[in-house]
Amino acid sequence: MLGIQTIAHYLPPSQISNYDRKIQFSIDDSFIKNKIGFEMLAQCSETETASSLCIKAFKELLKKTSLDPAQIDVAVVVSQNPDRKIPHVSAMLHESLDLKESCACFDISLGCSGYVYGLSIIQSFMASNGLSKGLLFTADPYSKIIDKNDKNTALLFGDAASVTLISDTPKYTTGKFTFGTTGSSWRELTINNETLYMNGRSIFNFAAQYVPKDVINVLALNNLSMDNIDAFVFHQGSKYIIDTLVKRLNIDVNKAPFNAASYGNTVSSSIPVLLEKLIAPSDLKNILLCGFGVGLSWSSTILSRTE
Amino acid sequence: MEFTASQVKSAIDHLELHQNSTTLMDSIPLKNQGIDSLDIVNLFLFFEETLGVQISDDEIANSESILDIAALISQKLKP
Repeated sequence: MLGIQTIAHYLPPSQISNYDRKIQFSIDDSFIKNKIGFEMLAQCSETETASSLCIKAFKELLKKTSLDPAQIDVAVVVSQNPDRKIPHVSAMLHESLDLKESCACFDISLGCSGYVYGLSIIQSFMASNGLSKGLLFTADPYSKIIDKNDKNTALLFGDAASVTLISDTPKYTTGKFTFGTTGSSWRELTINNETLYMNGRSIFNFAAQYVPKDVINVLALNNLSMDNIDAFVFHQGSKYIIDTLVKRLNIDVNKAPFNAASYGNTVSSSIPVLLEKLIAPSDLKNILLCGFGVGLSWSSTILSRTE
Repeated sequence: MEFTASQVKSAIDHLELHQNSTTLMDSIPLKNQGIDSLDIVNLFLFFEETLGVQISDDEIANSESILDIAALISQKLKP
């Protein structure tokens, strides 16, 4: 039985305050705090890259577990802002983390839905090849592609990395997954001329319309009801999106936390960064995960505590 | 079919976008009355979903007040 043993993350210490940009973007404190929800944005340095962020997340993992890198059978990186087009980030990590030669390394090109897709992919890969320990990294330093004068994106995205240890001694196992894509909408969140473009209205409408349906679908797929879920971990796109999902799904607001006020929307890292905090005390039995974004794509699953 | 300012306010109430929609002025831009751009996007999504109309980004940008919105929706609902 494979599943999540533990999670670690890294947030760059450097931050940008959205309160310092109120005049530039004609916004007020209430809009920052109560609507977008991101008061500060974590930002990596110019020399930091997806791989260096992953290495720092891995060092945090080593503080939490007595893991020998030689035990790792597979390392997967979810990123759309790799250090280089060639090679894949996970190959660079293979060197940096001193992983064994037989360790499989590959990347996944996905954005905010990437962590949930990644969970399914790495566990399927491990199960079909009889592997017992794997690392799922997320790192998407959007600060490198943001136009600092674009109100639609400059106030939202922060940098982070996470690493999830998948093992045969899990604390949480995953249920069945849902997946989806509306490829006709890919232009609404893309890179034009090396700069991120986002149609905020389209992304909001997508999240408000597709995510509630997918939550219902993944619950049905796993023979569960809303009452069986102790926490709903949605991609932390903005506070307004989380609030909208809470209203549309009639969820107890305390079960759907927004936890990214001090670091921003960290793309594929937003779910594991929050999840790490939630599973540490291990008193939650069932946790619903839902990632959604670039593609436009989405994926959901249920985590269930093993003890 | 005429869509009225009162119906726009009902939608604002339904979505809980304002503490007291009866105090909203029909001809003043909503953004000047405490309803920001995110709320306005949410409001138009509500109309699209409940009325089956399609509203473009430009139409939203040009519909700043309750009266503007009521007029736009009325036009959309014409057979």
